[in-house]
Amino acid sequence: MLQSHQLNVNGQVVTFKPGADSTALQTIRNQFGLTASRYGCGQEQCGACHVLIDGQSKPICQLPADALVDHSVVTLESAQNKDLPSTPFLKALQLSFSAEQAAQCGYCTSGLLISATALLMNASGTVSDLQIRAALDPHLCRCGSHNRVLKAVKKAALQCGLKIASSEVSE
Amino acid sequence: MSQLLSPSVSLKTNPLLGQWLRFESNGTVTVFTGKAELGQGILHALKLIAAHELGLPVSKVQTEAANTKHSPDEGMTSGSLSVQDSGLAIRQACAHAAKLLKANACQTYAELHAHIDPLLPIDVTVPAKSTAMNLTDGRDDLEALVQGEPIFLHDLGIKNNWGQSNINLLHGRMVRGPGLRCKLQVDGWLDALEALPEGAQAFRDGSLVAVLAGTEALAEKAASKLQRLLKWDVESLPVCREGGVDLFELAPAMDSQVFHEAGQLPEASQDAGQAKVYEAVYFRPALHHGSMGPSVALAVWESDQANSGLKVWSHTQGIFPLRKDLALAFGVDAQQIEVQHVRGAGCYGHNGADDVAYDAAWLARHVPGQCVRVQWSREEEMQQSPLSPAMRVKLQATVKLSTDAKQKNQVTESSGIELLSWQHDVWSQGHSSRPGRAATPVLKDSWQTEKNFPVLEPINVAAAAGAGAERNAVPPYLSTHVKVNAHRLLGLPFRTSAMRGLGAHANVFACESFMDEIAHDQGLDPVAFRLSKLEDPRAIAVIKTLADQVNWLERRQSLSQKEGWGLGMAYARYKSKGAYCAVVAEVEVSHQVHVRNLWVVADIGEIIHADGAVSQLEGGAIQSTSWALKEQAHWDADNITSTHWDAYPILRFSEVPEIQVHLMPGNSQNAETLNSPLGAGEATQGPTTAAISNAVFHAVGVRVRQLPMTPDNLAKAALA
Repeated sequence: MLQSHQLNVNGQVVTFKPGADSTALQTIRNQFGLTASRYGCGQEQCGACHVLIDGQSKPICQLPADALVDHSVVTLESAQNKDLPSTPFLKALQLSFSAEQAAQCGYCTSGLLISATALLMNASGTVSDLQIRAALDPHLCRCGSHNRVLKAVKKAALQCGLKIASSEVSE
Repeated sequence: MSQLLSPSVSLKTNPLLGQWLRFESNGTVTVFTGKAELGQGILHALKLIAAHELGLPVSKVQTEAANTKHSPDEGMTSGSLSVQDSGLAIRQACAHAAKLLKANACQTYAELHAHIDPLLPIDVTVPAKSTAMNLTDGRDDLEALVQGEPIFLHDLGIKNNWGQSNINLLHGRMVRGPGLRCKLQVDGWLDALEALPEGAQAFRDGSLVAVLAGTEALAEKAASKLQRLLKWDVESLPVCREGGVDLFELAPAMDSQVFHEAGQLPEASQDAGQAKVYEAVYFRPALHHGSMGPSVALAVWESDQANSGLKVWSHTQGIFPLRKDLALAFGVDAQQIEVQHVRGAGCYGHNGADDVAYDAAWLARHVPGQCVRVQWSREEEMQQSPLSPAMRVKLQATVKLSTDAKQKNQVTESSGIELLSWQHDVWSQGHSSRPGRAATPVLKDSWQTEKNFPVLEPINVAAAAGAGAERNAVPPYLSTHVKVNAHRLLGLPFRTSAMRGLGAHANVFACESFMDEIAHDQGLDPVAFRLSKLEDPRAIAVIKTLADQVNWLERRQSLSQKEGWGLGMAYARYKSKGAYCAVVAEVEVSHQVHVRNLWVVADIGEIIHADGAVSQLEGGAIQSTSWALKEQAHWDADNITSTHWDAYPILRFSEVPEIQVHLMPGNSQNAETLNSPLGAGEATQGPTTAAISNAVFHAVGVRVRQLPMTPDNLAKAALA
């Protein structure tokens, strides 16, 4: 059981100064220095701040840090921690995003990687194009890298041993 | 066989070898540029040019982010000109360096260092390599992005990965009134200060108000407290119908000019009975940049002395123009100011970057020696950044059936009608409020202070620089007489400025829709009609290649059998002198428009980094699809109300079309046939929107002349 001002982030127990920030995003960025989760809108509308909370991709730009106590939080910086169940999926995605040059400015990239990680790690055997699009739909990209991102996620899915179901069959 | 290109503008302004290159002792070469990385991958493209010319592997070349202390002054990073300006200058510098390497019998560039004076003027007569570039290395900065490294200005000042916050950093937040244009009622100021939370400070100059605190949370709390307590006088905004279609009647003044006229207006001929007059009016609403990361800046003044240095970290498009306007705003010498470029989120024109840099510098001046970080909110980004102006275009043409009218519905160069006259009238506010050009600062928050700087009217850039509202208003098609009238709307309260393509988006949308309308009415195939009115072989090649790739006639024919599906095409040469681009769109129309496929063919001259160019064209096409289908800034009597993503929706993953991009071969071993490289970043904006609109007409017979093609506007057009 963690104390009220402790969080489990990327597999580590960390202490935060309670009340110092208005959102969990600020705590994670400013207190822990984990800046991959980005401020984009502050209204849970753009996806730039997503992290994994108990394996689900969620925005944290309106959530108070206290709400994360007793939950496992995973940010993009977690890729160094081999013990996390998300790491193999995240690493495969990082490689495929890089190989497919699936970013222009890259401001939305962290959030996309987090949601794609959640999709792949929670998938049972197959993912479809529609499922990938649905998983990434909360994320806005203004540069227009969408198609490369979709391609990169499919490539990583295959590398993680998943099959790509044709859209017609899946939904 | 080698190429000798005329020196680029950047090279004329920055003629010394040391302004572009530094030879490091470890054998690598550092390349300096005044152009800014905006997410478009320009630093990578410049690195490839340098590596190719120096004969080094890409890993041995590095670029340095722009800084007013050491970078060549290259003005703005805009207008798809970075490869032409900076790239060709760097190529020339590197060609000279490669020659010096040989001449001095050096094995490495590290050795060369001792032999040359950085003040040596670059020899512009040294021919660059004639061999085509074949470097395909991907952008290496993407590795840092996928690892989530702190490479954005937004991350600066925060110690990375489990470090503590930088205690010297003070967080600033601006306090905005309830209107787009408003004045503070200063008598409430002292009372409001009483309510400030402990640890926060507030500052005011005229109607400019901001707070400073040790944490973001405290600064936000203090700002919202003041926001609630302070009273403002708000200037009313013109309330418009339907996304601003009547803005043109509400402008207090207008500056009308003939922008272009060529040819003779034909006299009424005997066979006037065969002539037909066409007229149509098109409208594109004001748009937001919608950068994913709201603007941010850091600033620190050395001391409280008049001659104090100021350092600013900014994601501006132009470090030198920003420095000039900061100097004007603070009444200091430009030499006192250092502007360091650090990348921000994707930038598609003049967004809030410069304004927030002023905000940070203004706040920092109150606390000399301390670094101040100002972060705008999403709402500020949408309300305070310049808008891309609303545009109205009226087209009139007279066409005549020539006597040898024949060969309809074929991709042929001899369609039978003649364009006797073509008149293009465009109404718009100016497309530039950029820094660096006026005698007083354009930084909008400086207008709020007691210095009483004038509110500046947006301007249009000169025709030689590609024009503003008039960009691409001159049609590429043969017509006996062509006239373009530009009407600049004055006195409107909206601050408008440059966004990706400027006027080209609306002008190409109008021109290419109009061509489609005429072709349809005359029973001509729209591709054949265009080809019959073009002379430039590169334009013709781009369109023919596209038609072949999509199997135009057959695909269009077969889609005609499929209810709600349609195929449309559009073409433009960006700025009439840049990249050639043709687009075909395949759409499915129900109560709304779904874009299913886009095919893009572009001729960008010499190809520097093929994947980078494809990525820019693809991204431009997606952004243009978003503008075409969804985007429209809106406001009420007080303020802009499209302040968040629910109120200003953009294209999502579930809505993006499949896109295929084809680049015309620009590389050749024969230098005589090698065309100069042309920027790719803005070429697809106009043709994509127009192709979608033409496809919608093909699908359901409805001509949408008012963007965006929302279900509402589609229904309205269907009833028109």
